[in-house]
Amino acid sequence: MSYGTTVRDDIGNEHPRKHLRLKERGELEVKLLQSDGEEKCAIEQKLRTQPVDDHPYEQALRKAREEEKSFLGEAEKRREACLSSIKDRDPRLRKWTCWLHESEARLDFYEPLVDMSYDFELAYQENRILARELPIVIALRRELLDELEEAKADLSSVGKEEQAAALNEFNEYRRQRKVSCAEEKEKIRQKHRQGLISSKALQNEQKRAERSAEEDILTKKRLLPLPKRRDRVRHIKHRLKVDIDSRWRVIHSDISDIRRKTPIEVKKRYPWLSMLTFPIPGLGQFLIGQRQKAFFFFLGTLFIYLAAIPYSLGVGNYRGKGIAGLISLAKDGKRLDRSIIFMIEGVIAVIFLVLAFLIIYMSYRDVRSTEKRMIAGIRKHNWFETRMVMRGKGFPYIVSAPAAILTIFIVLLPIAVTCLISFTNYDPTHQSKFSWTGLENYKAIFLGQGMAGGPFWRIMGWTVIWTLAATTLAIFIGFVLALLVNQDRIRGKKFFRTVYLLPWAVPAFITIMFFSIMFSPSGPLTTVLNQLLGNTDPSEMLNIKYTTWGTRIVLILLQGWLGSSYVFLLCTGILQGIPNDLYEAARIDGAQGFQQTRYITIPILLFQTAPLMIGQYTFNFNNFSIIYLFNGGGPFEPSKYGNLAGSSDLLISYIYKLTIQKQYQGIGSAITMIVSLLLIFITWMGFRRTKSFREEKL
Amino acid sequence: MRVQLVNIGKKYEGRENFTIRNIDLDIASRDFCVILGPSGCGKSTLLRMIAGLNSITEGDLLFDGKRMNKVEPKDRDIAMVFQSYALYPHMTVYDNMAFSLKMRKERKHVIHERVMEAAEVLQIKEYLYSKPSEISGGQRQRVALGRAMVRKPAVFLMDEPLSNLDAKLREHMRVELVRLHKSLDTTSIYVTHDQTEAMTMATKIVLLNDGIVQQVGAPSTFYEKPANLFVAGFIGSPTMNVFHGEMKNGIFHADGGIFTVEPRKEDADLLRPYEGKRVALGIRSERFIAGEQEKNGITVVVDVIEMLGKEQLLYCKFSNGEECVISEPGYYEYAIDETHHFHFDLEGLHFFDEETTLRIN
Ligand SMILES: Nc1ncnc2c1ncn2[C@@H]1O[C@H](COP(=O)(O)OP(=O)(O)OP(=O)(O)O)[C@@H](O)[C@H]1O
Ligand SMILES: [Mg+2]
Repeated sequence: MSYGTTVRDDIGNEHPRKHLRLKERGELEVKLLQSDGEEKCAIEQKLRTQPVDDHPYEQALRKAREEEKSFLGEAEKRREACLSSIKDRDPRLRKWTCWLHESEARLDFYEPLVDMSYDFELAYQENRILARELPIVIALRRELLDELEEAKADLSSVGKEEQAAALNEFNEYRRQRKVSCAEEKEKIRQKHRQGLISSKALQNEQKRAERSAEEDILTKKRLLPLPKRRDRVRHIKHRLKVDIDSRWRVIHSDISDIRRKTPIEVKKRYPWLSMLTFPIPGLGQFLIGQRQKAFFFFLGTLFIYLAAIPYSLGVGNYRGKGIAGLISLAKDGKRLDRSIIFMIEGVIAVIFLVLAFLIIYMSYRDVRSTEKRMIAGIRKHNWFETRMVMRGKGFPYIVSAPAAILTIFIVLLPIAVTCLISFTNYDPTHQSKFSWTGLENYKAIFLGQGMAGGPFWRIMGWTVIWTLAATTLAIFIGFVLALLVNQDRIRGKKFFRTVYLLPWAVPAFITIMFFSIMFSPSGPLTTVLNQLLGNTDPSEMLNIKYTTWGTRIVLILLQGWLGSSYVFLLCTGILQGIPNDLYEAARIDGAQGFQQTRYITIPILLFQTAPLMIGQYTFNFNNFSIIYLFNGGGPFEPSKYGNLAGSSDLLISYIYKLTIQKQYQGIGSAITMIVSLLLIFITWMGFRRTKSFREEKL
Repeated sequence: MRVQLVNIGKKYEGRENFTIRNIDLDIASRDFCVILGPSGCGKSTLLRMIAGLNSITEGDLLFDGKRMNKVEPKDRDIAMVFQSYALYPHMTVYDNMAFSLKMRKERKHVIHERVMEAAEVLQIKEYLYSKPSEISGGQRQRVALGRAMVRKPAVFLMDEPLSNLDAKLREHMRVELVRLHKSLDTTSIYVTHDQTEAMTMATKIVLLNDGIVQQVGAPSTFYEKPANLFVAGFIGSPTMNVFHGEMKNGIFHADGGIFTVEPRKEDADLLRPYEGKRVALGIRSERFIAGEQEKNGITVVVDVIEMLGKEQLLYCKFSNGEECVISEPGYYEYAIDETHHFHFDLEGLHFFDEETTLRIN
């Protein structure tokens, strides 16, 4: 990499080099590229013999640096001298005033050095800003402090009598205002009695009278001496904080602006620091001089070397052996060693390692980019700038980081473990120790083999039918009810709305249990049904719970009713949000009653609810509770379903039976994986198709 | 179609007072009637009653002599442009405009022709297939206009249809609307609070305030013969100068003794009954004549000058602090704080009864 004759700042502007030795080199290097033969040799010779430390510029620079050092070394002395001359008592004012003096001194010191190096120029510019802005901040704070003092004195000077008198006056005012309000209300009532205004107008007007009286009283109350002055003190305190902070932010961003526009010249040509320091995140930042940032990365280093790596090697595990345990799954282990523990701890170890890798990578990238930018001429970010970047671009990451880490352990860990279990023979005969079996479980499911895999396709079929039928029915019912109830002409809207929300408000559990009992073999509904059908012979008696399709149809109807509330609520909200003038426009355009519903209401409803409706489908796909509570997945048909499942079982309840009741965790996990992938795919497809809908707001 | 309003009044449910009352209006066929008034005076209410969107509390609404109070909006043969646009959010601009014709089962190619025609006039051809949410406020307003246009209704109702357009486009649309009105052969009723729109477009203006009609008539009469002090103050920019005073011996004495005016003969006759009573004198800024005169003159100090190019507005002060606005040609030279003499153009004086605020001459 060549030095070149110019450096580039953060904005992209080129600046001529001020470092004369590097500039010479840069020029030579440029020439070298354009020349050949003898000339080339001469230039190479020159490059080799160019003095480094004895270069006149380097000497001058060194001298200037030494002067700078001794000048800065005296800063403390200057500060003390200054402090003794300040009359202000406020510590911040004292500090800032010293600061101001110091920056003025520095301004004078750096001024003659500006042309020598960009570092000096930057120092000069920074101090110029400080010298210009600090007086303003100091004056502002002084003024506010004085004001605060005065306001506080004012507040404490409120005598008891004064307050009492004002309070008396206020109470009197309040009494009068209440009386006048009552009179006003009485007048309105009279008008209503005479039939001049409607009851709605009566209500409105009374409310208005009350409100205005309340407001008047409150305003008066705020003007009492104590609250008023307290308010003032609070206001000044607030300004002391906010106004001054914002002034400081302006100063900082001014300085940052200068930093972005003043390039840096470094002798280094390759970003070697990032290569050397990548195993220890934070070290690179520390060496560059970004201490606060380094501190955070050092925390990462601690995590990597004290937690992640030892854990993955098996140190500090509960029972497992880190990564090794994940592979062995406690094979040939002690009697108490359980494969599942080994697996979980192995997964945790993997997650730790991934996090560690991420931290290392982030740190490496950070150091490398800072280094590369410095080589190009761009100054590193100071802490203020880093914070600004974090607040802007980094904000989403920072905010979501804790949640992300939690998510990893709450969501990702179980998913990963489930996924891994689906590749093992975790079943009733291998509870404590199981081993990897590859795709065996999936094979059994797809081919419908074995005890557990056998009924898979049957159950899948019913699950699909159930999902489509129950959800569509619920949506239909909810939709129609919402449309009906939100008609202008319907009376008693509140009543209907409440009734239709009941299935939602009452725990579904209760409703399902109720119907489950009603449809039991001797239950009232079964009896009524049989009487209606005229079945008296016990052998002919219809028994919902013993017939596959009987159970299925009742389930669908029940869910249609239960699910409709949600749809109803959703649609009602949207219907009420449709502006009335759309209907007015439609009336003028010639659309009547049903046409308005068809051309305006329904399209808008569909637009807005489509994604949520898809959510309803996925919800029913996994609607465990209704199946389990109504008939426990039954009726059971061992000839078709084996003895692990019933004919109204959904995949989800089947999984439940497999894993929790019958301990076929391996195959259960495999089905879970299939179901999840399927659902994710379908939801994604659905959302993708409705996304265009969603983005068009009303 | 002739539109008549007979003693119409509206009281919203839940309100204590009538919002508007005792409105009598006769809008001839092919009139371009502008309902003008400050915000909240009930313009939209009146228009919506004509459209049939608000019920009529009292009085009769007649279209060509037929009572329309209870007729459905779609059967009134009207089209309306809403103040809030009220575009259908889920339909494209094209479908929005085609909707009313579609509802009338109009033939497809006619619909297409009409929509294209309207889009052409309104310069919205590029946006025909966008949704209302994807176009600007001004464009939406034009779509709303287009939606009403394609119907070719007998009565065309518009509620501040130009309020969101920029000055240039508004000027253009004003002309377009008048042209459209002529070509459609409709009766147009147009609501606005902008007096320029009213003055330039209307064949008839109705000025509403406080729920009652202040004045009805051709635009010129509003300027030349305002019926009361409110109209005098509302119409015209800059606002008419109004001086309060008393009649003594047939001469108007302004309060504070800042000037006296001897009205011309015709006015003097009408002013006789007001001898010794309080009277307000109105004069428009351009009716002052520069120069001193022994009678009917004023002496003022120039306070602020607004240069408009062709003319300049002088905001002047009398010795007692009373203010007035005088407009003079732009090439006259005036400077702030100078003292100048003007006199009244007696032809341009308006006299009002202070008690009733009604016009006297
Ligand atoms: N639906 C309503 N219910 C009760 N009061 C109403 C209703 N609509 C309007 N009003 C009242 O009627 C009065 C007149 O309203 P309107 O909308 O006609 O005013 P406007 O002249 O069109 O004003 P703008 O120029 O601001 O549109 C207002 O005081 C308003 O508060
Ligand atoms: Mg309005």
